[in-house]
Amino acid sequence: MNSAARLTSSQLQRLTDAFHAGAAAASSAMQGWLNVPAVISIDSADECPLDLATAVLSQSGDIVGMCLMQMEGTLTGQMVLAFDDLSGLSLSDLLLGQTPGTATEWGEIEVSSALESMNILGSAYLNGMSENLSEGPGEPVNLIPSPPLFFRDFAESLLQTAFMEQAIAGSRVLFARAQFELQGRPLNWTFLLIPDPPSLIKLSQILSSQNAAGEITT
Amino acid sequence: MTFPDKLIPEKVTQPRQLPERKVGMGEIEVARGAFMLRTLLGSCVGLVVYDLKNQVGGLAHIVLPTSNGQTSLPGKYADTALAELLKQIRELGGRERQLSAKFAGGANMFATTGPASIGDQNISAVEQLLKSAGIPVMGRHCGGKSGRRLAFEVDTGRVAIDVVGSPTIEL
Repeated sequence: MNSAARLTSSQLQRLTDAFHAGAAAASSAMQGWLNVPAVISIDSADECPLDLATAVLSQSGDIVGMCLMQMEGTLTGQMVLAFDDLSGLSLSDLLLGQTPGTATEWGEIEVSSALESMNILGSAYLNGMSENLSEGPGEPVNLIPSPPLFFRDFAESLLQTAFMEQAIAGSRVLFARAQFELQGRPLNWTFLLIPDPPSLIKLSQILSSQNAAGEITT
Repeated sequence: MTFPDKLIPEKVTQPRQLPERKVGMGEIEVARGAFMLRTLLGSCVGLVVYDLKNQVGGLAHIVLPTSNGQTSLPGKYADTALAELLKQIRELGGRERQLSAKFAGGANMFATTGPASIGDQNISAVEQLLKSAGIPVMGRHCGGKSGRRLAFEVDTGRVAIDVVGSPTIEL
C-alpha cells in the first residue's frame, strides 16, 4: 500500500468502530427486508498482503456469486456481497417464501433477489458508517451507493479485480469483512468493503482529526 | 461469450494428476519434469514460458504492465516478471533458445467499474515483451469478461484453461 495511506493501529481501531456502526445499520435493514432475525457482524478489518486478501473467499478455485456496488462520495471504493450457490439461492427461497432448496439455479428472479438484498444491505451499511465518520464539526462524510451488479465466477478472479485499484498503489490492501447470521444460524455469505487508494488517504486524514470517542479534534 | 483472440484452440483434454503448486498474485514459480503449476486469473495475465526439450518451465502471475522501477515483487509487473522468469528457468536448466510461451487472462471483469483497461494493458505488455525477447507464442486465451483457471503441465507444455460455464480448453 502507498505509505501515505497506511493507518496507525489507533486509526484502524476507529475505522473498525465505523465498520461496526455500518454492520449494525445493515443488520437492522436486513432484518426488516427478510422479516427474520438477522445479525451482520464485522469479522475483521484487515490490512494484509494482496495475495492473502484475494483468498478470503476461497483458496481452491471455488465458483461464487457476487453482488458488487460502488461506494461514491467523500470516500470511494467497492462493496462486495459474496456467497456460494447454495447460500445465495437460499436467500431467494427465503424472500419468495419457498421451501429451502426450491431455487436450484441463477435465473432472473434469483439474481434480482440477490441484487435487491445487496442494495438494501450496502445502502444501510454506508448510512451507518457515515454517521460514525466526520470530516469536521457538523460535517458527516457523504457516502453514496451505486446500483449493484451481479457476477458468478471464480472467487479469486473476482477479488483480484475488486482489489485491483489498491494493487496498483502497493502490495498491501485494506478491507473490512463481515459475516452473517440468519435466524440464529451462520450463513456462508461474506460482505467486503474495499476503499480505493485515494479514500485510504482521506480516511487517514478523517481518522486523525477524530479522537477515540469519535469526536472531532481541532 | 466471445473472446477477441484469433488463436482460440479447439482441443479439450483433462489435466493429469500431478504434484502441483499454486501461483498467487505477483508470484513466479518454476519447476522441472512432471509437475503442475496452477493459478486463477481475472484482469491479471498468467504467463507460461517453457523449454520442452529439457522439461523446464515457469508461470508468472502478472498483475500490472510496468514496474516503473519497482523491484520488490518482480512477478507483479510484466517487464520484471519476464526477466525474472527467464532467469529462474535458466537456473533450473532451461535453454533460452528453446523457449516457447503461452499466456492467458487480461479479462475486463467489471466492465463498467474500476481501471477498465488494466487487462488489455497487461496483454499488450506481455505480447511486446515476448516479441522483443524473441520467444514464440504457442497459444493464448485472453480478454473477455470472465475469470480463468490456468493449469500448466511443465513436462508437456500443455496449458488447460477453465472458464465458468464452458468446457476446458487446451492451449
